Amino acid sequence: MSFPPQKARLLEVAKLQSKIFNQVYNPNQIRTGHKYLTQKLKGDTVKSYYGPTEFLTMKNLRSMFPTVGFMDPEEEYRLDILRSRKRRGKGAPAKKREAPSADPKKKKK
Amino acid sequence: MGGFRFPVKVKLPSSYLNSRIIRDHFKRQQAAEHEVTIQALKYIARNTALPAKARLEAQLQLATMPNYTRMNAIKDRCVESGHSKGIIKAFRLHRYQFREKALAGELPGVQKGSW
Amino acid sequence: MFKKFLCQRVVSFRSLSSSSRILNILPKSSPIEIVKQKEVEYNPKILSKDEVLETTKTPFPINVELNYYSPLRHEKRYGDLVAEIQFRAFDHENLDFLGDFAQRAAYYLDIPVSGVFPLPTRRERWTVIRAPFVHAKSKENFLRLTHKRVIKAYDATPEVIDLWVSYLAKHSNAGVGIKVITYHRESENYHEELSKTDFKQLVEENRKGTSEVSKRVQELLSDPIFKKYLGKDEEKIASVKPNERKEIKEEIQQ
Repeated sequence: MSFPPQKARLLEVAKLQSKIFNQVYNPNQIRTGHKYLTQKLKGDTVKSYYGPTEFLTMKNLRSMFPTVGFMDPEEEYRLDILRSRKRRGKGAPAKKREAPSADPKKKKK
Repeated sequence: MGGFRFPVKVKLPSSYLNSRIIRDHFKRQQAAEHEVTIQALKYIARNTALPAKARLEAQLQLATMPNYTRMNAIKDRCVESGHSKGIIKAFRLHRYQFREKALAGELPGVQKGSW
Repeated sequence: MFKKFLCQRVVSFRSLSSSSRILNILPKSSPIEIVKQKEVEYNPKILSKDEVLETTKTPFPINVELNYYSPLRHEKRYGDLVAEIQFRAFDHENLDFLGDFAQRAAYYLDIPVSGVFPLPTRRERWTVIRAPFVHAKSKENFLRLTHKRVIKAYDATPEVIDLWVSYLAKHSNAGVGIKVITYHRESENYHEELSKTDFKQLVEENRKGTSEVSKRVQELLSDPIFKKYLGKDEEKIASVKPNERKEIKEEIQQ
């Protein structure tokens, strides 16, 4: 009947093994915090969850190429509505030509 | 972004935005930036081979890290609506946005299931 | 009658291709050179010689006609598995087409390939509540199937496999993912090359992912805030790589 090998002998093997395969030899299972060194860093994936932060907006484009004259649908829509209001006589009142009188009290009266 | 709440300037993402998404996005940027330092401090604090005072110092530094630098404060939110609950992770969408998009055929391969 | 016709067509085409066109592409070190040395008779058998296209008044080109039949394949020469190419898509139509295309391309590149094997389909299912708020009893099911096909390639040089893969990538279908696994064989003298390589450098390069944290640890420990707590022995520990610290600690204790 064969006996199992001695513990010291097994430890020797473990030490050699860890040396060969570049592992940590830790027979007494002391806490070394080794896992914080080997943990995968997840910062890059976490950072980009909501999509890229660098992207072209119309505002950027307009400032980059001021001469091109890009169309702005929202602005066009706003102006369109203003024009239609004006046609129906519901536009903003025309500005007064004369400067307002200096004395506000007179105006009240 | 500036002011007291978000002391570091961070560029906004391209997705749907509301205050909670902006906050979570800020947390993500900060956590990614401080990840290495936190891991290193954790290593020192948990390493029994180092003197107790050094470990305590590391633990103190961990506890006094600036706000919004922890990985576990991050929450996956819906990129279309900002919901925090009922998120389907594969699409980063809330269940309702997922349903709407799937029915509109905007999610490639997703079909009405019948089995 | 039709089957017989098809068979003979196949025979004629094979003799044609191996004699003239294909061998020019192959690299000189290819094992197929042995085949080249044998003289291949150019003896096309065409049954449909009377068939002439009405539009061009020319016979129907044989390589065009072959597209109506299932793709041709070379037989394995040595059976050395060289590459596996996997296609994935959400619908099987595109997959079937690309699988067929890959086989035809492999035939003209003189690569012996297997048939197109289906791999188990990946089924992802989601059950969501229909309404945006409450009403949890009414739900809807969604499903996504990812179909997969695999083709195995044998007995070709890496250059030819590269050519094949880049050709497939260039003409691939929208919505089909391609994944290639290549197998590389080393010569018997590989152990001599191995003994020349610098393993320490290799290990260092492998560690690059974790080294960022360990570098930061070194920085922190050399900081005066931490340094004042470290004794002489600990400083010795802190100065070496974190992985080796344990052993040094033991040595000190002994």
